[in-house]
Amino acid sequence: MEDSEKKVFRNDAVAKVTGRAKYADDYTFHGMIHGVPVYTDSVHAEILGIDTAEAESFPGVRKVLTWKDVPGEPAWGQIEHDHYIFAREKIRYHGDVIALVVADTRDIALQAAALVKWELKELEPVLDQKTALGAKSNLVNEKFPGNKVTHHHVRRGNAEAVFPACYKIVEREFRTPFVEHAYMEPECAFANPLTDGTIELYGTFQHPFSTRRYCSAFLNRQFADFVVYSHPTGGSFGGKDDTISVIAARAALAASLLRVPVKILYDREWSFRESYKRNPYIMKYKYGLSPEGKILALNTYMLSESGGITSTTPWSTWRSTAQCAGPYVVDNVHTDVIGVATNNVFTGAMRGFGTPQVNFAIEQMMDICAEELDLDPVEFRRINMVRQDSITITGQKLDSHIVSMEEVMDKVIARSGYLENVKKSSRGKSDSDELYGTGLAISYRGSSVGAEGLDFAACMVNCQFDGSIVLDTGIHENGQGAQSVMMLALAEEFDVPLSRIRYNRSSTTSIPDSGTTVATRGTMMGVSAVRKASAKLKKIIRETLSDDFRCDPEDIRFEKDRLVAGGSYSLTWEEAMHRMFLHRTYPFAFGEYKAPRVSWDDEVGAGDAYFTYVYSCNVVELTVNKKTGKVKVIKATAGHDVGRAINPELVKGQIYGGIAQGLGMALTEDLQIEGGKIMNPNFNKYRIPKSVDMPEIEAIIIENEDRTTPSGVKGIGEPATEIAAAAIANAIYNATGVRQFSLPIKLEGAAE
Amino acid sequence: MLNFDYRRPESLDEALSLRKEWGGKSSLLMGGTDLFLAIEEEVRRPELLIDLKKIRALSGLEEKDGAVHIGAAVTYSELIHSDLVHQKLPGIWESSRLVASVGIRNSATMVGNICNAVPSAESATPLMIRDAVIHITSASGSRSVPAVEFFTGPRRTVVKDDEIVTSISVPLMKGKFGESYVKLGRYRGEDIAQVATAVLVDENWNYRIAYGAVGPVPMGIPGAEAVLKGKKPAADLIEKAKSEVLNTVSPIGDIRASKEYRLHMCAVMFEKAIDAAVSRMETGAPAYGARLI
Ligand SMILES: Cc1cc2nc3c(=O)[nH]c(=O)nc-3n(C[C@H](O)[C@H](O)[C@H](O)COP(=O)(O)OP(=O)(O)OC[C@H]3O[C@@H](n4cnc5c(N)ncnc54)[C@H](O)[C@@H]3O)c2cc1C
Repeated sequence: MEDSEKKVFRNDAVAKVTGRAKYADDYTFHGMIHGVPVYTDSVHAEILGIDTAEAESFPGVRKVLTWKDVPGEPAWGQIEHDHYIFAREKIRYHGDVIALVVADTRDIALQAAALVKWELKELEPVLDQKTALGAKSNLVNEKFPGNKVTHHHVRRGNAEAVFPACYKIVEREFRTPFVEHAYMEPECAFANPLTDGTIELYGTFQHPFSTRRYCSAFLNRQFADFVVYSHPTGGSFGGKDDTISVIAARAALAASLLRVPVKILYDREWSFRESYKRNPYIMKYKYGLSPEGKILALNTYMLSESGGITSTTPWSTWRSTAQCAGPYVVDNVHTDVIGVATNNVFTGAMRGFGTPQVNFAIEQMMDICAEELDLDPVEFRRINMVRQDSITITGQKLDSHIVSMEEVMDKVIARSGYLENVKKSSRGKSDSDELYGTGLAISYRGSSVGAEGLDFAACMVNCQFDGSIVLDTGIHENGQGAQSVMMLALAEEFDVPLSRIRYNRSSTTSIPDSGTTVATRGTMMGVSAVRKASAKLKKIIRETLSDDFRCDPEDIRFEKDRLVAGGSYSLTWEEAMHRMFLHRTYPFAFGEYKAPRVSWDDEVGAGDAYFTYVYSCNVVELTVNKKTGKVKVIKATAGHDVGRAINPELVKGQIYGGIAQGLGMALTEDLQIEGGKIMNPNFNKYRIPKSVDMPEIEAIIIENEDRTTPSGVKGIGEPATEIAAAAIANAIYNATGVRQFSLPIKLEGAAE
Repeated sequence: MLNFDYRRPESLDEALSLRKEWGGKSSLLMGGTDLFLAIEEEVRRPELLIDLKKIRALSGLEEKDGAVHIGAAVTYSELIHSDLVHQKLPGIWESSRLVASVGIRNSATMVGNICNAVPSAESATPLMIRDAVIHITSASGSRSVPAVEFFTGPRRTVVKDDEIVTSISVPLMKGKFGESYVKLGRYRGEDIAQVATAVLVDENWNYRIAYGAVGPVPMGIPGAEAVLKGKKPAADLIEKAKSEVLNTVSPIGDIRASKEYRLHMCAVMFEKAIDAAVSRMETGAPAYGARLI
């Protein structure tokens, strides 16, 4: 493979920029009909009755589905089974769906949806985490006494015993908000019943296998009865799992009952209303410090709002728990992280998954502690940060990989000029209207799902006898370039040009489940599986052709699109594949990769949480206008140790996007909820950053090839966004001299 | 439910007779950048859309008889790319560049903007300070209304159900003058104004001052104009004029800004706008279109 090919490679680029890429709503089938959801206007109520008669008799309506039509489980979920396909006894949030109107056209379905009637007994909405936790009555879900959906802890050393002896104790409370994923393509799913009884599903799925699990549970059908296709997805950021899977199951149910293809297309406002958000946190942080700047003890207590459905709250809160101290060594830690049910919109996976919240607190606390001790904040971090062979707060020895926290921080500091710029920061005083500030934040992040789940991935390399290659992996493309990265890795393995390789559009029946595209694991797990498959395939080819070469199989090498073995005899790649044909041996291999073991003991709150870690540092520079209170982020410098950058331009793309998303969370995105209802469910009022809001970004890729997996990769998706808000908050303090304890940061009230 | 008829007349007469026939059940369509949102949100439920974009008589942009005439179909992009507007109506040019983003400006019109008549309408205050006149026609005759009298309430104007706005004329200034338009949005990215301030000053130190988004309609501030009249602004005068501003405006708090913040910014922007207008008259700097806040 030529280096120039490697520079920016996307197998889907032309299709996407020319508009030819086909997204879910671009597909249509002969005889396809449409489904539309029915919501009540309640957020917490008992359902006394649902009357579909009038809607059902509306001309053009084929059927109105409710919980009564569900043959399988009434509720399902990734962890707790409390996500109802159709609300049955209770409404638990504003996005609960009580019925699906299926009609000849979407228009008719929309009209008939307004005719569905219901009788509810309104209940007091549970809207505040603090009062919800421990409530004896009026619970969101009887399953969860005291509205507590999960509780994780870390107990290390004896923090309470150490605090009294500390030189200084620093204590603050922070809050972070609901955040919408704001993927470009809203939810769309459709189901096509085949004559043998299987059901094909197409849609905006982050992970087709997850969708299949939901469909199988609700419809009471086995996995093999579904074929879930993946196709270009207009963004996900963790947001296209639970909600879209339930929507897909509704389509599948309608299609199987009516025996015709059924499509359900969401508009943006339904998407805002029904889909999950980032968990809001309330975090108390208390640090005990020595006079020299050593963190002696940490006590933290956090509430994480789960809303009306549990979804992945028990997992994202576990990550917050394991990473509650940031990239620092602390010998005495007492942490409790509790997930709380309310009647607000439910929360689940979103890029960062429980760390953008804690990092917002931790990295501000680092600056605050340093200031209390009259220490330089960078030096304070240096004193406490993890290094090679450090023991983390969960008792894990960091010896599996290169611990590059300091290297990453130093590179970003050097490139951004942080040390000089921080001295220029205004701290509330300047002669002009503009206050200037720079801020820094660092993190480490466990790669992949860690002790949350089982981690393995599959790949098939299917060389054709003419020399072309079909590649298939179970890692799903979410728009980030996963396919391209795996194609690059394969081209590299065999040293063949990329033009030989086609990525197979996979489905749940073409390749085994490789786990979801989450947790910064896609490249690491996918490429590792590609490596495993390649190794097997090389062995097959070498053993088959060693007689032709008259050499030991191991001597055959794959170089520059040829097979060579020292002597004068060599084969072009095409010739080699043709010889495989003559030998009647398939140049085909299935590779599977199992991630290294991790562990977690929930009793003790300790374990080897993750098998490797990404190290990150962000520095931002911004101005705050004293008179208007407006913030303008002017520069961001972001450095990440990604292990190995297989497609460097795409790594940078992830970094740019990560900063944008962090900037939105920090400054512009403000989900307004009143009485459990979202008041700004569209982009005219919910503001994500636009190009003109974006700073210049310098992305620094640091590569310490990772030893823990064959890929050498550690990943970038989530690290890219998890400290941006923290760095912005620190910069705002350095500009204004005023600390910000909640997001999004609003300074208009402080304009002078 | 969206359900309406659509007509695209080629002549003004045809449009006027449709307007006469359908009255309040019709809506006039220009760029549609406000209207479609209003229909989507069911603020408006027209039974007929009369699309005016094909009427040639509405597309003029020219200088004639001491005024610049802006046809109802002229888009913001056309205004921004017009040298005539840039030179003769610099405040209008400056404000037009701040409307939305390129894509919207390619279809949005100034007449649509003022007819939609939200308190933050970008073109309202720059037209008011230039004594612009709005020309309105119906099947039974025509009339002209000064911009200052055009707005009657939030989303309400003097235009009646059988009428159509055909053009706006803006009288040319004699002698030296300076203008400024200061817009405060929530972010740098496109957003409608939290507060907007427009100022005109001429060589005899006559001032015109208007504010948007701080009351039910865009409003002039005659009290402040009177305080400054005939004088070069000095600190004490500015303070006095500023308090006139604060006594006149009546902002509300909403999703875009609190009432207190709007009041605070009225004062801040007053100084910026006066400064820029005066300095432009005297020195030509800062250039029109430069960021004023
Ligand atoms: C993303 C976005 C950003 C925006 N940003 C801004 C902004 O920064 N500042 C701002 O001020 N506005 C903004 N707007 C609003 C809008 O774009 C402007 O008000 C625009 O000028 C409206 O013009 P139009 O031609 O699209 O009007 P239309 O939507 O076609 O019409 C607007 C109203 O005027 C009526 N009307 C149209 N023509 C006539 C006529 N000849 N006679 C009588 N009545 C008529 C219509 O019936 C309708 O009620 C924004 C809109 C969007 C969608």
